[in-house]
Amino acid sequence: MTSGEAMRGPTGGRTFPVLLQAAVGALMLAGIVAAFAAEPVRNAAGLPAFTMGGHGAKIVFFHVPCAWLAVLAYLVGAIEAVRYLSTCRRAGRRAQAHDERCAAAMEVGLVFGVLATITGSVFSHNEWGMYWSWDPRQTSIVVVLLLFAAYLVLRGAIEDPMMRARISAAYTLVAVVPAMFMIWVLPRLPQIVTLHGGANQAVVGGGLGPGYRLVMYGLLLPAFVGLFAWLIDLRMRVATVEAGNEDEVVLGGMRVGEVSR
Amino acid sequence: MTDGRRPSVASQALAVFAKDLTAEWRTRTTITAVLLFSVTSLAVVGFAAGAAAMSAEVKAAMLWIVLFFAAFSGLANVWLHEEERGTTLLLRLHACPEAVYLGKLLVNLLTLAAVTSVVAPIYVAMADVRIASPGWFVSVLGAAGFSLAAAATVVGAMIARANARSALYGAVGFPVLLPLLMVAAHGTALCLDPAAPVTALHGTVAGITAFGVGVVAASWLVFPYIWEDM
Repeated sequence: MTSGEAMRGPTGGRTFPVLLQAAVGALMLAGIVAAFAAEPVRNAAGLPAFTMGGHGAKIVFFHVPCAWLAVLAYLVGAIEAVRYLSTCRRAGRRAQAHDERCAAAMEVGLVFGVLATITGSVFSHNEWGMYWSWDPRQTSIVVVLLLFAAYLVLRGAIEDPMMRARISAAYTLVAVVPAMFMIWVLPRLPQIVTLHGGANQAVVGGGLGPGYRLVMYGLLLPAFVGLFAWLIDLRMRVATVEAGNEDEVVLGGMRVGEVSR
Repeated sequence: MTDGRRPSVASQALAVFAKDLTAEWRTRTTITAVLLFSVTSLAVVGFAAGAAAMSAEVKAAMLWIVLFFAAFSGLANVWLHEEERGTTLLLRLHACPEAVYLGKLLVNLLTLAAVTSVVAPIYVAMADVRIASPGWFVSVLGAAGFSLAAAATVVGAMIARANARSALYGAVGFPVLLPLLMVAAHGTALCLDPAAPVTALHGTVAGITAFGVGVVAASWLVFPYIWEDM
């Protein structure tokens, strides 16, 4: 089963398989242990490159995947919004599933966005001396957080399910412009000064060393992506139950409909 | 439409624009409310700041905060009036969605241009602003006004289909407009700085315009789904 199939959830007839759940758990556990066990970062002179004897950088193991997943969640939401709008005229269950998946991605994105903001603030306090320094990247994640929240507020204010799905999808797509502007354009403008330049170079440019890259890319990033897919699947199952489609919910290999019969 | 052909999108949009302009001219509710809101906000900020020296960045942010809240105090009216008067269905029958969006966008552009042309000189006088690059200042105002109207129009259309509209408009519209506000304030501050490089000013105006064009393009694509009852 591919990750895309795994993310279909009950509305699409699949659930996140137990094997993948176990893999996500194992990767996450290994990642956490490896993050604590990793050697502190040192500069060229052999001195600790971050506070706390070089251990201050370790929060990026969790901050960076959270920030990337907030962005990924928005992209998934936007793709599902396009898929919903392109199929909604047929108004089938498939179209409804796209809307629910879009909403699930936005909800999960909000959670990862909050986690990225909190972990980023801790890093900012340790390394730059204050929890909030109005860095363009800090502002970017707040704008994306606000977009997630605004989507959910707007969604909650429309009663008719069809109308709610259409307006929510439309908002997601219009908000792609400010979201992408904040994530990819603003921090890269030449006149914008960002504290993240060095830190990002350290993470993306490989400055943290091969051990750190192995923990980041080999363990924690796949674990977080798996967790993201799992959370989407759980949210889809909740949506299915809420919509009264209990017969689609698989419980221990049996469908509720079969149990009740 | 005497020959049985459907009018072009442009002529339908102009008809919607003329209809809204006529309706606005009869009551002048929106333009009066937005204008009064802007001037009052400027007076309140000016009074609060008093004789305190403000940096160029603070002065620039002040202008855009006033214009932003002014826009959000009235630009949704183009949609809300249709809902309140019960004319939405009629409009839906007589014009295609794209024409409705364009017509409403033109009305909001005109409203914002009128408000800006009154507010900007008052702001310059009240905040003792020395504009180093007047041409670029007008360009920033024009580009950001266009983008502001574009975003406020499409968000207003969405809000008109929801409950608790007045509370929602700011909450839902603010995140969409925040990047624009930041860049517009930055661009305005550059216009006040005599040493600002032309490339930075050019890049800022281009960025703001690109933002507005992006919002209009996205709105054009999704508006039929917002407007039509399926």
